Amino acid sequence: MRQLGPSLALPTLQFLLAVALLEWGHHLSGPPGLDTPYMPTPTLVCFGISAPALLLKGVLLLLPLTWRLGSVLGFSAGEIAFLAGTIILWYFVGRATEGPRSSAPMPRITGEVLLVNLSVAGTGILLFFMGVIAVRSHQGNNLAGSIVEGALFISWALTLIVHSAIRIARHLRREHIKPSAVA
Amino acid sequence: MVGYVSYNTTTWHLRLLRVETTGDSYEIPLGDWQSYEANNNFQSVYVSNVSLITNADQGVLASYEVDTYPNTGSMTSAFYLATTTGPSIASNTQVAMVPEQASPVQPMLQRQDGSFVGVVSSSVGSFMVGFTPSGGTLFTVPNDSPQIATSNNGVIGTSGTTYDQSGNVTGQNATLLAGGLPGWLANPLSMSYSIASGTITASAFTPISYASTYAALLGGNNSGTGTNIQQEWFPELPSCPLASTPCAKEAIRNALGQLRVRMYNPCPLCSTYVFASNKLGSTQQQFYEFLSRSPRFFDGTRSNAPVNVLCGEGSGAGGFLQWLFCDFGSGTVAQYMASSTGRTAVTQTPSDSGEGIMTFFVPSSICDSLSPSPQAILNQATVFHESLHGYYGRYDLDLQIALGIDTALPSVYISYYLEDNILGQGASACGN
Repeated sequence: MRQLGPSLALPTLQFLLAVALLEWGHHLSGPPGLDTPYMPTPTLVCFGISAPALLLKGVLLLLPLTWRLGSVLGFSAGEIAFLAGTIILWYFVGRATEGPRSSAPMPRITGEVLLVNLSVAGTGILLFFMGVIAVRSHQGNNLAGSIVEGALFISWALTLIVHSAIRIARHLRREHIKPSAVA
Repeated sequence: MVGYVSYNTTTWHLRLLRVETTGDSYEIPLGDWQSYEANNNFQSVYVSNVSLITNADQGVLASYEVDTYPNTGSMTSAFYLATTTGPSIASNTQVAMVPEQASPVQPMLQRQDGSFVGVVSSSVGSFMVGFTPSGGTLFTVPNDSPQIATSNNGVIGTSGTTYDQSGNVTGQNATLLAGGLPGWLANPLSMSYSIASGTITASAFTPISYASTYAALLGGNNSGTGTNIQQEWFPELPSCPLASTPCAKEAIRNALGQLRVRMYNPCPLCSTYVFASNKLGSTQQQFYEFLSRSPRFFDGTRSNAPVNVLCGEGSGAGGFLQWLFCDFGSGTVAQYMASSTGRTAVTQTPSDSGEGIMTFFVPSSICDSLSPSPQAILNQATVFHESLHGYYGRYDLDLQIALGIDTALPSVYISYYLEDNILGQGASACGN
């Protein structure tokens, strides 16, 4: 039987996991006596696992308020944007794991490659700040949940920053190797 | 002798078709009736005047008429009411709502308690009628029809007359009396639109406290498109402006006024216990400016606003990032308030950029007392506390840590902290 490739299996599994965690969170009401809303631990962990996907929620700001606050099939507009982002995110993660290993020669660096990697690094920096905010602000009145969420955000941030830095460095190294040495 | 009988029959079927959002459909039988003709003997049956209204989010209420024409005697009319629950019939009974009823009741609104209001005609005229789902008549009012169901189980007629739960006249709504209707956003914009032209007719619309049912307004929504929605995102707090004992709205507004005065004047204790850099930071002046914006205090027990309205869009990059994190699911504020015991208020954190505090209260949690009194101090502490959420964008847990309050204690201890250290000794409970 043919196995699913990571670019198909990862988004599918992560989407199902995210739906399950969000749905679990919907059924938790939090401690009594709060007058700011509570965010359940499964929800915070869910956001952390696919942290970059949460950035897709930003496109909701382009929509009218009633759409932004709408819901479909029990999921808020923000959650739906996040779930869509989860599929996209893990597709690219799957693609990255399917790609050729480092034995392949690195092409010369181009403006496009540089822009992509700087964007990835920029996303990492943004996620780093979000992680710090999550930990420091005790997001959603959930001390343990916000720490886990923040740690996952910072992990994603470091992964993206390091990954893009390595890729840029490898391209630049290729630039500095003399043609004769390459040959 | 051999003979024959000519016998023709026609069967009438009345069915409801329920179509779900998934595409599944269900046929719900309401009845079968036979018209027949045999030699010179016949009976004709006609089913007509079917009308439907949503019954909360459970199903529908159907009203219909069955007329029978026998070959001897006169036509008889029977009127029925049926209710459904999901894909099943829950009840289906013949009803008689007024003497000499000439048409089936046309259900138009559902009241706060789940009963209905509609119109029915008889040989002596037309009536607005309140009735139970099983067809019991609650009241009749001649020559009026329902326009808006209100939260006190009352109803406002298209005439502009307001009625209580028993159909007794209680007054008049000036806007409807003048031919206006609530604007699309109804009470918050305090505007009304002319029925005839659609233009703005008044800037001082009398606030209406809608019933929280789906069919509280004729036409289903403020645009009259027939889609039944729960009306109010931002229901007013109970108000009684001239009463000797204040209602929630007057009491909380009084508390806000007192707090504004306190923040306008020098308050060394405020600097020490709240605005110091080792507490929450910022300045009393900036907090006063925030308090001076129009407050948005609402009745959380009746709010159909999505709970994510509590995710404020604060200013700057920090506000944007905090908004990205914030998601409380797909329920309403009222559902959130009811989902756990001890919830008396919930505040948008942070407040939308440039806006004042937005807090949804359980009205009974607000002390019915004006300043100066220990209970009014408690109200003031509550407003102070909620304003800290809106101004700083910090949750209860975060505030408690910053102010040095044990995080194992409920968040009302933030109010007690403000009472004890800044406002002077106030009450610890309302005792309303």
